[in-house]
Amino acid sequence: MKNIIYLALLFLCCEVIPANAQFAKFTNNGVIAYEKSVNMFAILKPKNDEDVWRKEFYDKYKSTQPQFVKYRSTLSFNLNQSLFKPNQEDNNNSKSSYWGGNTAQINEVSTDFAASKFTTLKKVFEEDFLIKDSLRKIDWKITSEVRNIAGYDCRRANAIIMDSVYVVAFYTDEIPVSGGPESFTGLPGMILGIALPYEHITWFATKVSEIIVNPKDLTPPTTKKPAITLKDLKNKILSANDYLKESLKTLLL
Amino acid sequence: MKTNLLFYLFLLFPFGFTFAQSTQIKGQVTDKEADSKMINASVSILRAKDSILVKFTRVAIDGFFKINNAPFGDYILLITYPDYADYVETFKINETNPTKDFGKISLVSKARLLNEVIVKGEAIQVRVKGDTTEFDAKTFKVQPNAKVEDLLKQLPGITIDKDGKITAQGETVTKVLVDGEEFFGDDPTLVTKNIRSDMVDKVQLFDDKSANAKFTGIDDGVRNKTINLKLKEDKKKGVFGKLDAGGGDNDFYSTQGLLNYFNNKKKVSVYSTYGNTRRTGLDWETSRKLGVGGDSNIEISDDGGMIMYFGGGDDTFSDQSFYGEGIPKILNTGIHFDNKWKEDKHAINLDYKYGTLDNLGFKNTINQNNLPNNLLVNNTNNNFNNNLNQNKFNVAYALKIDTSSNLKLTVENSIRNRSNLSSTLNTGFSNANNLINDGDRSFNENIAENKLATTIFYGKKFKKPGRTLTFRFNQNYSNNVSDGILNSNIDFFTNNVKTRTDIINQQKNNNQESENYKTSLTLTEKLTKAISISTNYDFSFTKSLSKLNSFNADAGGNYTQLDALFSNDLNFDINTHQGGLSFAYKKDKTNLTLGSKVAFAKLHQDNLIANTFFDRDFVNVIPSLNYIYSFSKQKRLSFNYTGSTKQPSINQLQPVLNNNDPLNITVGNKDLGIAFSQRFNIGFNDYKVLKGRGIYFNFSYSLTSNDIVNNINTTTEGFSNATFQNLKGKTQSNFRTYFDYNSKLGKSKWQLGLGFSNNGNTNYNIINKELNQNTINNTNARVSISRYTDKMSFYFTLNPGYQVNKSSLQSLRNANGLTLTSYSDFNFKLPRKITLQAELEYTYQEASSSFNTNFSQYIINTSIEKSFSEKDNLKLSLSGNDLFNQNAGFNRSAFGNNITQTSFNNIQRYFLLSLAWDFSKFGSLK
Repeated sequence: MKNIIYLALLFLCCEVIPANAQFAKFTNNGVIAYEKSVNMFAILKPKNDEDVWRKEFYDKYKSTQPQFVKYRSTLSFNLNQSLFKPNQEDNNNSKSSYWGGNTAQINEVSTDFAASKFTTLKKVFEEDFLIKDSLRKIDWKITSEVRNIAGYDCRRANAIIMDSVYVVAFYTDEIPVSGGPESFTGLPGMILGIALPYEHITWFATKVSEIIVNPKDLTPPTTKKPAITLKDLKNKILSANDYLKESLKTLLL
Repeated sequence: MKTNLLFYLFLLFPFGFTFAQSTQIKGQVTDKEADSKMINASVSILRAKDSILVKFTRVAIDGFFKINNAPFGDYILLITYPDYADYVETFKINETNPTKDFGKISLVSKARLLNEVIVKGEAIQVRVKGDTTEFDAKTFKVQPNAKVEDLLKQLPGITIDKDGKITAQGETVTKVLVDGEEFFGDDPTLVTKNIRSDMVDKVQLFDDKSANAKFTGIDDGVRNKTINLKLKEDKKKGVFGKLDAGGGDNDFYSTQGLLNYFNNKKKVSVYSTYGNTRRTGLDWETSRKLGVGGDSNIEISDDGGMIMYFGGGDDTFSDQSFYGEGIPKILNTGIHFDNKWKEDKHAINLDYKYGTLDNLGFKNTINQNNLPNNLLVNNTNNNFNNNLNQNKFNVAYALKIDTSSNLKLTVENSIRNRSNLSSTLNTGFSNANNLINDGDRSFNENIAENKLATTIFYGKKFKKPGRTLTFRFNQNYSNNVSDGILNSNIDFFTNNVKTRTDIINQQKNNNQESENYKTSLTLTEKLTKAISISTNYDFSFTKSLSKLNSFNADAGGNYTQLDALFSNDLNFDINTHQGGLSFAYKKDKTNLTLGSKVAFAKLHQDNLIANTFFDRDFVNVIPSLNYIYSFSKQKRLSFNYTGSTKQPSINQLQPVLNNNDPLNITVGNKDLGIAFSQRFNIGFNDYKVLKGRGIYFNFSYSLTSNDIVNNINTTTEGFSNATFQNLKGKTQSNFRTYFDYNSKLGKSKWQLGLGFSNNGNTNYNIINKELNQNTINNTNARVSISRYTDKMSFYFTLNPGYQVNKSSLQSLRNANGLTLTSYSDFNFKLPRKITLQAELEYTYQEASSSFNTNFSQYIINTSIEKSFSEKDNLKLSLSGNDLFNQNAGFNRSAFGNNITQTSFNNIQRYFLLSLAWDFSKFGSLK
């Protein structure tokens, strides 16, 4: 905050040197490749020493498996809508253990920016659900921190969603679309980086390709079953099995 | 961390804005220099209080922006445009001023800002090429409770300014990682200001992108200086242990004591269990906590699951060592040490175990032998007194050479001494009631066993994914020396008239020694993304000698006269070369492995007494195919095929006579050929998580051609001579079908299970030169209901079944009939820390033409336990074993032409009152 004002003051005090104005090029449509990275060591770490099984598993995991698992995905977008699609190959190779939960990407998300609505095809274990709902209202706190992601300068914003999940997002004003990976939206530009520090998960764009997107590639997912809302799904999961409560955060994201 | 989260929650809590009907914020955005429209510039209004984004828009094509209907309040206007400096201005809208017009706002290009002002400070380009720079935190002195910042300040080449900005080797550090993961605090300096420096083990400084990307896995396109703080692992020390003793009626008792001391990674344990209630040692969980048993047999599967390997060891103190017969007194005690050091690079595990097992018992066996034209019934009464004592020592050392290769070394030595005293009365009848033989024998022997096994394992993963090398070496040595006296006296009868008496009075000295060496090399390589190849070469060499001397007693009662028929002196060598090749294909939902192994075995035996030798060569082929199709994580179909040749064992080949049981003598056949088995298996499983429903199906079928079968000749006197031969023209087969369904009962916590299985096999043996076909078929159904909650658990299952067991030579005699087993257990947690537990087991077997009575038995065990003290670490329990004294020690079995019924002494009703005390004391190490 302080930095913004500081910067603004500097700007105001600054001597102006004449030069040709070079206007930025905005990316109005294209495909963004993201990579989700999950810190399995942090997720699997036993909370207490008494859990002998888990400790054995964790020790073995740590000594034989990589710390981070990666999942690729793409986001196709134009000014009006976007479609987020996970890479199925990575999902097939995903590791999920009794303690680790499922870290694969279960959502195919279609977002309609004008109507402020989304349609998600969500794979909850064996069952596919079609979710139609309004975009999640996120109170983003804008900061002055800037970092470059995939060649775009991104500004950091923080938020808390689903009552307890702390989110750090990096968005760029060079892509004038309020979208992002999964169901993260609502910033004044495209989100190219997301971190859920306490869940040990990040998504970062690895490549942005500016291309004309075929409207066919933005078709929202469909199923034969009628669509339900997020709240319906939550109730369904909670009534299915008590232990699923633990996975609720990842299933509803 | 938690406090930070709360802090954000507080900040994000919606403040009470009053909603105005029509407010408007507008303005025009231009380039300061060119005075042209800044179309698409991003315009955001943030709440002044906490920078929360309230509304945003973009500058329209006419160069103007407009934001309508923002609630009253204090705001910050933020206008950004790529490569232009941010424009920031505070303003407010309220009832008196519902409209804010900024007029013309001019943005300035960053290119025209002074260098020092630019946000991304382009510092002096001093790049240090090469690997990570790493600092060991403990070599720097900081005050107690100092923060990481204070530590970093001391590191050469790193400076921190008053705002917490870190510069390393002339470049600004923009990322601070904690244990390889980026730390997203609100403030980049949060880590360095908040983490205590004594929590840090190492400070690693990365310079180039590849090292950074390697560590974080995130390639964000920036070449930043990055610091990774490697935290120290939690260090704890303490002791824990348990004392547990119980006594009961009928002289039953059970005791256990254990003590563990640990200091960070160092662990020392001592333990002991002693009793006569069949406790053979520590349970799995306790032994894992103590660290006993070395490295765990856990592997992580491809999909992240856990694979556990059980068994494989030669633990003497398992149920198998006394077959559930008798009332064994078992002592099992040991000491354990393990340690890891240099960041777990080295790990060592030492175990010493000592144990004794004393078992006194008796056993009655009634055996019915279905001969082609005759039926022999043999009644045996055996008294035994077996004593065993064992010393066992293992060492395991593991070394992580680097991130891609590791080495393991194990040495295991065990020394066992056994003394077995056995005396047997035996009576044989032909056609049920004609006495044909009547005898008694005793065999007392002392056995000393010594085993030494060494393994070396080396594994390397290469840089190219999927390329690995594995080398294994195994050494095994065993020596078995025994010394025994056999006394046997058997009378033979014809038509109830005694015809002759066989007397044996022999001393038997036996010495068997064997050494085996095996090396194996496996290479894997990924050919394409989906296809990988694996090849292996094994060489194994075995050298063994067997020397048995049987001496008959002379007139003076001294064992001096060698009985050549029952003595031998043999040397045996086996060389095996094995090569294998397999392909694996893995793509999407398909997983296919196809391969084969070929083994060439060369056997050579010298008979040093007869001065003869024989050589045999075998070629074994082992093809295999494995196919898995995964519809989803919880639903898969699998098919596999394995073919394997079966080479005769040494005992099956050895033309050596053994008369330890004079009525049943077995001799090998050196001309045996190789058998070939094939096995097919189809499996399907589908588990629906949301519905809590599972379906499992499995079918397997195997057949063996040219199999090695028993060839038994039994005389009318009841004397059997068995040998082995290949079965020509017939295949032995067996199959298993298994189906299981389980589901939640509605929305309740009850679980219902239904199952069905059908198993059968067809096998052959040759009895008095006639081929006998045995057919066994078991059909079982299963119904179970269960409920598990914190307060109560309940499980009940009922398994009705029907078994068919018949042989072609005695088609009128069979063991066909109904069976029923049922098992249930309950566990209730009552108030006042009382737990009640009970289990019930019921078995029923219908009478048949082989067994003329029904058999039924129910066994009920219960216990009641109360916990005392604050931490529940003192427990008093009363348990009752076999409340209705029904555990008869009874067993019926049928195999081939033999139907056997045994009864033996074992543990029946007793009550045990025990007191257990758990204690622990933990502390943290700095």
